[in-house]
Amino acid sequence: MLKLEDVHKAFGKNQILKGVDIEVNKGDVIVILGPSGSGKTTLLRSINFLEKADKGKLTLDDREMDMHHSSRKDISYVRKNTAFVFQNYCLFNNKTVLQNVTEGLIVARKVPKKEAVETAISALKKVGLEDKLDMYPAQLSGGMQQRVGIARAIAVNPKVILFDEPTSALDPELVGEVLSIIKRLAKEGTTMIVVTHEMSFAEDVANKVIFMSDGVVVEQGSPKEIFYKPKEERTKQFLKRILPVSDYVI
Amino acid sequence: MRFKLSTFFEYLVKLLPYLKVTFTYAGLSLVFGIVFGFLFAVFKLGKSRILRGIANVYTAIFRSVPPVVLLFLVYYGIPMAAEAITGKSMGRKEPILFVIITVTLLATASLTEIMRSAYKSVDKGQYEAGVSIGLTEIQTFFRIVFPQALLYALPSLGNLVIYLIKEGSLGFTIGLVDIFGKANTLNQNTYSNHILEIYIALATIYWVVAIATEKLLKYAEQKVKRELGRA
Ligand SMILES: Nc1ncnc2c1ncn2[C@@H]1O[C@H](COP(=O)(O)OP(=O)(O)O)[C@@H](O)[C@H]1O
Ligand SMILES: [Mg+2]
Repeated sequence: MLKLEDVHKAFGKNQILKGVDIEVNKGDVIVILGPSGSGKTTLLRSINFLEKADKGKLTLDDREMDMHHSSRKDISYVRKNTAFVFQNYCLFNNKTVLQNVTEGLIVARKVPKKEAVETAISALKKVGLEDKLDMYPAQLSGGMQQRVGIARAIAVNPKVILFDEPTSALDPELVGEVLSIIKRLAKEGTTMIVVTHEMSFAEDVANKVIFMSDGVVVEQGSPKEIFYKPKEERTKQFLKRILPVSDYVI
Repeated sequence: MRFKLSTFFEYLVKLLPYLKVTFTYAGLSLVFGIVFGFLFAVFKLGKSRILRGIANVYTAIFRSVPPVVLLFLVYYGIPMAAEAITGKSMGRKEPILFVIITVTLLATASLTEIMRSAYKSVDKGQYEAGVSIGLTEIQTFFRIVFPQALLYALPSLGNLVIYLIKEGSLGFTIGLVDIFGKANTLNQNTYSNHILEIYIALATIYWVVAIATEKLLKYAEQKVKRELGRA
């Protein structure tokens, strides 16, 4: 459904992505792991054209696109069929919770207001915030803000949702509420790519784990394969570092 | 010499109509300044090195030249340049024209900076969230970024208006009859016999205008804040 081929991206002389291939099928929950600076964020941003890749092919459903020479129509098509959940939420601070969620429906997709509000409320119910409709982002905890971010993403019914470390900016006690919502979405069959270091999440819901390092996909497989039987030395090293008292890698 | 309250009020009433002139140059300069300031702010924030350079040089110059020097340069320089180019003399009959040009040049420099920092005050993530959910760049700018930038800029805008009104009073040096010019004329006509009443009346008007501007901007700020739910 979503396919990336040979994605390259440099910032100045700094080659960040060095030919990444990823394939996502409908219903896939893909977790991307990798050390900080390995290009995970850049990869997700390139999918959504928040960064313009230097090279690469993106296929979404039947539409093939050159990621470097993309037309405005390509960009708009991809953005209307994907959604991004940001590490630091990035809610619209001048909009209420409800407006944050209806914006993409009413303004970008021309959904009639009444219908948009209904859709938004049902999305907000899924994240447990239907009683906060008229609040502003500044009045909410980080966990709630990220839940609004998730509602904003699911309301537009995207083909795939891109999560970039959705819990890493949260206080530890707020991680659980956000993670359990994403888990539930995953179990309901939402297609998603999640960059995260939450291993239990990956083990629980991912059907594919991709380990990235230095701008390339080093290894990919089921969570069991990656966590219990990693083949590559770099993967082993990484897992050892993030799981110091490891009961995964033997 | 004694200060007479009735004389003070007499001059207050005489000066007030000339506030129109003051408002004219301040208002027009503000409008032109917003247009050009927006342009330069776009240059400063943009990718083109040349345009960025032009905008930087502009703000650096016009924020460091004393307003009165700038006024003289405009007043003497522009007709000379115009004559050199067209071969015809344009004269200097309308002092307000030169005051508007000068104050616009000053306002543009300040507004460039005000708009640039207001834009920067809204974190880039909100813009990215807007386009990533499918809004166009223009929709994102006007629906998300602009309202927040405006709120950020309002206090500096208020200060700028007061500054423009005060700097424009320099127009008397080239014969502009605004409230300050009129006050000078009245003072000369009465051989400085009513100097205190005249200039206190003048200061009172400036003071009231400044307070009113401040109050108006505070009101606007509260209104925008309420729209943003931050009151
Ligand atoms: N806009 C940018 N300009 C320059 N360098 C960048 C930019 N964005 C990211 N980088 C660099 O790219 C590298 C990879 O970043 P990123 O994709 O955020 O990695 P990750 O998400 O895996 O931690 C980092 O070294 C970062 O400094
Ligand atoms: Mg990252």
